[in-house]
Amino acid sequence: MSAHMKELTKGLFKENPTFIIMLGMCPTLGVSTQVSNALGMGLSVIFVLTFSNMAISALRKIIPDTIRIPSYIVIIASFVTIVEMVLHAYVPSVYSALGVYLPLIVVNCIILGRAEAFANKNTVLDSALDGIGMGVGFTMSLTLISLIREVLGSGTITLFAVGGFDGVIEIPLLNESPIGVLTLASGALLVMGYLKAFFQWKSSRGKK
Amino acid sequence: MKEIMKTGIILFLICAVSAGLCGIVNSVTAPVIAENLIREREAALAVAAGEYTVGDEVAIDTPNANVAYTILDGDEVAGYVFELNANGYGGAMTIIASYYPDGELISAQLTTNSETPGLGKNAENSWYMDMFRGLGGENPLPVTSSDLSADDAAAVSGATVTFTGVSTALRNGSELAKSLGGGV
Amino acid sequence: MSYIGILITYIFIQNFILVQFMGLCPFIGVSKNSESAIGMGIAVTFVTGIASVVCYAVHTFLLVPFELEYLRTIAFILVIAALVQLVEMVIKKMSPALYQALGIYLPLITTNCAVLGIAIINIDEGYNLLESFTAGIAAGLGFTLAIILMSNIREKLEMTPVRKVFRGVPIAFISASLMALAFMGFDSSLITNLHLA
Repeated sequence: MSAHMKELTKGLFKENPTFIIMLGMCPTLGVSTQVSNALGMGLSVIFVLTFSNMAISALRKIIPDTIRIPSYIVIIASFVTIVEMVLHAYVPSVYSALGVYLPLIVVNCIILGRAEAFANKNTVLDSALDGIGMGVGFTMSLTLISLIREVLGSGTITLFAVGGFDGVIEIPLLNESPIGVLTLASGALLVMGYLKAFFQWKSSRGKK
Repeated sequence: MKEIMKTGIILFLICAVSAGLCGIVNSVTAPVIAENLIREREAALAVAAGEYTVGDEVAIDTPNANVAYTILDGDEVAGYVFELNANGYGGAMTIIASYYPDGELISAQLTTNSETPGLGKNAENSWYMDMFRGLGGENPLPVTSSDLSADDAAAVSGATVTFTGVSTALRNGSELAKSLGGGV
Repeated sequence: MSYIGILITYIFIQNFILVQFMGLCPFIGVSKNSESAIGMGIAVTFVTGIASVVCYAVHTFLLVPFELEYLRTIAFILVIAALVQLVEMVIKKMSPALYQALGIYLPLITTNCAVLGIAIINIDEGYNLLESFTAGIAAGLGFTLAIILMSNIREKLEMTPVRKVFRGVPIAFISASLMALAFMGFDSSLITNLHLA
């Protein structure tokens, strides 16, 4: 069981897809203006990654090597399409906030990368755990970036509306004079640069 | 040759199964999506109409608005509600706005937009549209932020493009309401 | 919108890398020297241009008549993958010199969000065939512009003392952030003011 646990947890820190392997950055920066968007994107990626990993792992003996990339792409694209349709129908606000970045999950290098590097060599169970772990790792990084950008950039934390709570937490001081540039494209790249520097600093300290 | 046939068939099967799966999900979600769209538009129109009820669709021929409905006070036409097109910082926006036939703005709500949170996106708030409410009839709607009170001008500073987009669209709507006239 | 308007929009105002973050992986990965940046830029422009036209045709003549719009994502990514393979084979046959220069970048382009991104944006914006092609070329040129600028900055950065933790990717992101700040100077009011809408 401990071997299985390792597949699950490696994506969280040691092989974190965003900060360590640097994959799938387009959506990371594109949708990180609000925490709710980041969570929506993260959950979609977890779903697609887990199921495409499982499907590819199950079919790994049937799919010939020559057509493996197109087959993977078709499998991934169909799960993305399913997520797209389900979100559009039941959570339209998240669907419109994610916009073009939702279909772009297909070309998110994390998913094809995991299919190629892991799922086509391992069992269905390990592939599913790998998918969940990597997906959660991606969601955590995405949420971290969006937290920094939204808290400093607009002085709010937008979650999902539940019951009487409208989903928006306002942070007193920052709400009045936020650092607006962080919500813009430039701010996304800046936050990413500093976070990456932080991770480089941390890993260089760990080695000593 | 046999090898190509085999890989071709496998790829085709994968595609067929994928497409089939998507088709099944689509048949479940498509009606829900269509229903959502209608409900959203109806809800937005009803909010814009406020104390009045939404009446019939009015035929219009202008690029400034997508749809127009009358709003009724009992059986009388009290004004109009439009879905207006506007250009913001992040591209196209739509505003649902209602007017009296003399062009006075009753209420407005920014709906679809991709403005910047914290700046242009403030236009989604009701206080933003309060700057325009009641204007457009006897008193003109503002054209630039210099037509606003100092407090309001400070509130829109940093998002001039959004403000100009909203005010232009609302003035177009006001003209449209005047041209339809009638009622009252 | 006029064709010049579309060109300006996708090269500057909606620059794929600096505003929309599409194609960020190659932007960081292949911008270490200006030669490979130019190669990647040309290869991407080539593929975005062709893919825009082909995806437009697939959507208009295949998906819409059969009411299969919901298969858009699958159809587009398959078309793009096949197209990239085809382009690779054609270039290899026609011009070995060009293949030498672009060859290694071509396989990377299938998973470049910029290509699928522009194909989907074309449909969402309701562009016709020629407008789609213009938008495709413009998106590619915007990508090329950004990646060339970036590679020149990074070549300079090699000679500059940078604190160890910022060396490499972090400083590249921060430089890109400053470039994005400069690109904010181009906003959609430009299109309105130049009467290109």
